[in-house]
Amino acid sequence: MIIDLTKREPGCVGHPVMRLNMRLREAQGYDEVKIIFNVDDIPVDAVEILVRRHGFFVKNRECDGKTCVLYCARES
Amino acid sequence: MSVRELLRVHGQPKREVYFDIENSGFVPDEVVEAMLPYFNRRGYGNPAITHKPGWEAYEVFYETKELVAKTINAGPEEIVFTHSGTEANNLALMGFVLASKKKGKIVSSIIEHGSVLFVLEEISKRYGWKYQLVPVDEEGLVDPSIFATFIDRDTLLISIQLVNHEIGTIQDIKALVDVARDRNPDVVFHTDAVDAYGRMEIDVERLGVDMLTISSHKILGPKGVGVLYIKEGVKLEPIMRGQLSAEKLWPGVENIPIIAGFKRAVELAFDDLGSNIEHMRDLRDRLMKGIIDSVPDVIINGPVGDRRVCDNVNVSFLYVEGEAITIELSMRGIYVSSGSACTSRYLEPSHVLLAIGRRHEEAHGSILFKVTRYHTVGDIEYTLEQIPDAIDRLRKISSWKPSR
Repeated sequence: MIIDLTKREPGCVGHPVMRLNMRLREAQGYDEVKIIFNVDDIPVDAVEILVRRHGFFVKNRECDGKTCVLYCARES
Repeated sequence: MSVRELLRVHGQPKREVYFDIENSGFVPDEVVEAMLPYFNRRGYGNPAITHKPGWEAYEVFYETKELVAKTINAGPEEIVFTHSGTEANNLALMGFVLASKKKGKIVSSIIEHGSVLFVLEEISKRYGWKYQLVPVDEEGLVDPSIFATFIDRDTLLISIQLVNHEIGTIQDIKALVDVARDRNPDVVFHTDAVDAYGRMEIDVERLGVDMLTISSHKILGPKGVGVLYIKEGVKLEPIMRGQLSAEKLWPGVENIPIIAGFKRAVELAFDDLGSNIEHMRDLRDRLMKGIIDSVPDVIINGPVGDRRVCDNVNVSFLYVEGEAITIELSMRGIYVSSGSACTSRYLEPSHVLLAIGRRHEEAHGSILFKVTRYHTVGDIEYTLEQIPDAIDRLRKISSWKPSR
């Protein structure tokens, strides 16, 4: 499952934090999740805590200072 | 159908119970009476002018500041009147940005009121400040460990509400202030306390906040007064320009009759705050339990117990649209609001309900009740007599059925 939060969507529920939470809840049936986000929107450490709370761990991270990609897998 | 026709068809219900304090409420007679002399008998002058009607206006203006300050353990010089809670939130955020010598970051939460979220968006567009929104858990609470990751040296301002306006979550502001100051001792902390004021003890010293917002109509005062507490030393710039009157940060002549009404509403709310809270908590719990016991397929939104403010009941009635419920209950004289839309501009469900993990269909059937010290056990009993029948009728005609 890929969660791409790099584009802000309009409206009350378009914020990346809102979409991350909603998509992570939907990710319960998946073993692997790739999350792409702007660090200006959400700190990497916050995403990692949220990912862990939803039963995943971060296998790998790629950050270029603006955008981060987290490769997450389900905790066994 | 015109509104006139709509009201004619609606008719006058035999009994009326008003629970839509979230969006505005009735003004009790004693508050209306306190306002009346200030329209044309005393204090009708400009409070900044040196004559008797002006001094009378200034007297009630300043006495109200003293009273409000006392209720939150602040000083009267730290109280600024605006004309609404929305304006007070605008002043706190925008005023801080305008006064700041450098650009920085503002941290807030994903479940704030629109008068914070839309202002942050505007600040970002207009002045190039960054803003970040902290997520909440399924009860609407900000987790201090996640919150800490958002605070850095660039964070100049934080705005987290004390009580959520939709689901009644009481945020542990003191813990968040401590976390924030630990990460950045210079950060300024604002809290929107509009849904906390008059419903719980508030002590700005104990909370450690620098700014705090209050609104008159949320405590059954008249619409048209907001308050921003600004701790001595916090610098704000006026966000509107014009002729200053008694207030130095908010231009224009103060609306003295409305302030006099607000003063009376504060006196009534705080005269016996402990008993008022107990009364509201009792009614809240009766209503919540009564709904759970008598209507199948309901979900309580927000925390249950001490972390929920004493006046808030937010329930999702599954398989029914919130607007349909508000109309059906209105016909029965029960006035509530629905969290089925975040604003009239967007056909999206409440951002607060989605943020705590509700699905769209659960958020769409949400109904918000707010009890006051004026409600009675009889009001709750009447409401509980009507709700099961109203929901049952709507579910029978709804095309939206459970997938069992």
